[in-house]
Amino acid sequence: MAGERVLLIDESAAVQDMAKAALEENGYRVTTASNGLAALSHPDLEQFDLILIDSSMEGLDGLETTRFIKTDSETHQIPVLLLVPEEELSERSNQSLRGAVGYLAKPFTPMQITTKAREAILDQQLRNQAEQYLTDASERHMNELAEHKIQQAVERKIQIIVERAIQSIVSIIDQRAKREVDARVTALVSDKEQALVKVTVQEVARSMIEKLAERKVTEAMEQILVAQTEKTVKRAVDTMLPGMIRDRLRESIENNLPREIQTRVDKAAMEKAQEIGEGVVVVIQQQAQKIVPLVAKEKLPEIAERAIAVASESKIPQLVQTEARAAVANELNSRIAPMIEDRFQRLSKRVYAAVLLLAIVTLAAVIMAFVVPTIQKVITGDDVPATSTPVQQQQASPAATPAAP
Amino acid sequence: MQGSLAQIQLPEILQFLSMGKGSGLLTLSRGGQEIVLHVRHGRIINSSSIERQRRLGELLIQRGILRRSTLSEVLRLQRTVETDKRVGQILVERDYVTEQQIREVLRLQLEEEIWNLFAWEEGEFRFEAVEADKLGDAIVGIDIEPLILEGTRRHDEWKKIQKTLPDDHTIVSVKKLGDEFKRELKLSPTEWRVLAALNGKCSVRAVINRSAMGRFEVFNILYQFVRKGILEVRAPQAAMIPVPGPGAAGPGVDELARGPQKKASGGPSLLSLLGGGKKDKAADHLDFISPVGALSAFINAAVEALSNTKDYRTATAERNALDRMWRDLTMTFTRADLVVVRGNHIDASRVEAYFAAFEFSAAIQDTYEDSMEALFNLLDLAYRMFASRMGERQTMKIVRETLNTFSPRVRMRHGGQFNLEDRVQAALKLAA
Repeated sequence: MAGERVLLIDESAAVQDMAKAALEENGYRVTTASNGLAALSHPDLEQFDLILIDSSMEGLDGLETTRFIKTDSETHQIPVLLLVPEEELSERSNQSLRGAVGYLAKPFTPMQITTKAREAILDQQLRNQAEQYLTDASERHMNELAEHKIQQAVERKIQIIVERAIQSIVSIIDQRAKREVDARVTALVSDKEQALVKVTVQEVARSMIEKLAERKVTEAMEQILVAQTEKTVKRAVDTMLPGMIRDRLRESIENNLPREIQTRVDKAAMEKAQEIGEGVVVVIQQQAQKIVPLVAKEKLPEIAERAIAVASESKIPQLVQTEARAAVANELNSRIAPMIEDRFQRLSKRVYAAVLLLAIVTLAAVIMAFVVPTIQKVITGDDVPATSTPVQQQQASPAATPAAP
Repeated sequence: MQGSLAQIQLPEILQFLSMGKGSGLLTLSRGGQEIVLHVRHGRIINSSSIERQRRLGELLIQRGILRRSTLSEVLRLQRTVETDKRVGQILVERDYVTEQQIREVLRLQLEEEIWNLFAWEEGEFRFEAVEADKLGDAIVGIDIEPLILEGTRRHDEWKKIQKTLPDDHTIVSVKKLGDEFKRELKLSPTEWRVLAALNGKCSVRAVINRSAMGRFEVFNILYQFVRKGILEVRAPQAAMIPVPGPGAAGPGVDELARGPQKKASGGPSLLSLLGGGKKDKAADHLDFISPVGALSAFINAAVEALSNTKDYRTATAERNALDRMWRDLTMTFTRADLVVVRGNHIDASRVEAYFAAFEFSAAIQDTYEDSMEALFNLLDLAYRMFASRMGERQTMKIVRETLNTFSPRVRMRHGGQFNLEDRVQAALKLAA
């Protein structure tokens, strides 16, 4: 042990001098001061290995100085020995040493002061060593703990990262799948829509065609009816009535029988027309009941009535009236009557044929309007009853309703 | 060249000498005080105060360069063998100190003294031209120009300092610290040396001696500390040692004779160390550890005897004369502070206890020498005080009687060659 630095604080210059000499003889390097503040304000206080302090100094005494040294982070580890006057020992023995490692009675022998100094420094060195061991051990432990904690933290972090990554991937996949499904669905819907549009367009087109066809049929029927009627009447007139008779008849009719002939013709025509009309209605109803029960029922009477009206109100009365004027009153009546009857029978046949055609077209339209969507619904999974009534079919597909002529 | 310092001040005179590169002796006198400065080629090389042999030795002792015993030995040699040599020369020749150490101490002391002279605003001066060769050896040579510059600066500072610290006897002490104190005081090494020298009892002069630093420097540092609130200036009374009342003026001769044994013991543990510490009734011996104890007891006895004389008692009732003198002496002999003087009674028990504990080893040498020197000075001062009051003849008579009675009974454990009677007679120049 040599070269340890000792700071000696004592009021007395003599004590400083003697203690310094004793310690220096034993290899210590001694700095002396006369008050506590000097001890605390030494520029290198923390570098001392031991501080010896006079317990009873004026101003800042030894105990207070010790307290300041021991509560300073830079100097607390320095051992402090109190120098206590012998007469104060009993009084001091009950007092706190304020962190000092012990005391040395004054006056002291060179042996006592060097022994105490050596012991205090050795104790401190041992404490430092022990502290170092403890520090090393605690550092090791802390390092291990820290490593363990870090590892745990890393693992947790990795787990979290992996979980997040998985979540992220799942989310991406979900999104992609959703987008894909959406795209598919959109595409399918688009296809369906296109198909529907196509079907609708077809239906509309078909409806238009049907309407057009109906109108054309009606027109054709009207033209044929008019043409045939005209032709038949002209031929009857041309063949059966010579010019003379015609003139005479014309004269007679003009003079004698204009009103009666008119009345009879009207009456006969009315009766025949009624008959024919009823017959047509019956046929149509039969057909309609078979194919288009309700709509056909509603529409066909209209058509029949219109046809009858046209025939009866505009064409037949005029022809009959015109031709009747030229006919002979009673004789010709019997001949004209079967002819007219024959005409109406023929007309009825044609009307039947026309109605039949119309019915076929309507049926076709109904089939197009109901069956195709039903099939489509079945394809798309809609729960459509397999056996639906024609009425339901017709209600479900207004587009299939045939337009009245 | 001569004149009044009130008309021409010292800096102007020195400047004139510096410019003229003059050589000679500049004598400055004020109220009976006379100082002679040796000037060679415009540089100051010595002063009469420094020339005093003992002064140089004291300076070296104060700075811890020289032991008092060594100085005593050298002074003895100078008186007996090497009478033609100066003290400094003998010290260097015998390797007690180096020439460099002497030069530094002298330069510092010389500068201090000249700066002190700058404060003289009255007095007389006289310059006497002397050939440079006849001025003796120049150990130091101080340039006057920088000295004047520094002196002027110090003079201004000095005025401020003196308002706080009026003189050397001013006592400064460390203030109590609050709980919030933190170690934030940053001190230079010289500042710390000054602070470390304060013990709450010593005057500024003691601080100067204990720190072995220049007077102005110490004053300036202390002044700064006071301004910062670290130190407080105490009224001189506050630091005085409590004085016993008239009833405790001092023990009788018999009591004094027993005193050293009791006091030197210091405590039970030291009784055993003292061994023959008890009064030997058969031989009526007085046992002491060292000459310090013996001399202290003798002074106590002499003062007691002198104080009890009818003449002194009627002259004055000065009860604290020794106390006052001792305080003054310990400002110079700082390591004599274990010797305590209360009223007119010296208590050497503490220092004797240490001497016993240290078995009078080399470690106590400086303390012993300072204590002895201070005690002889005290004896001299007390003797002169009593002589001035009672007349030297009567004083001498009483002291001699006391010495004759006291001295044969003295036994010292570590007395060595010390002879109390001889030393006291030599110190007081008492007729045999």
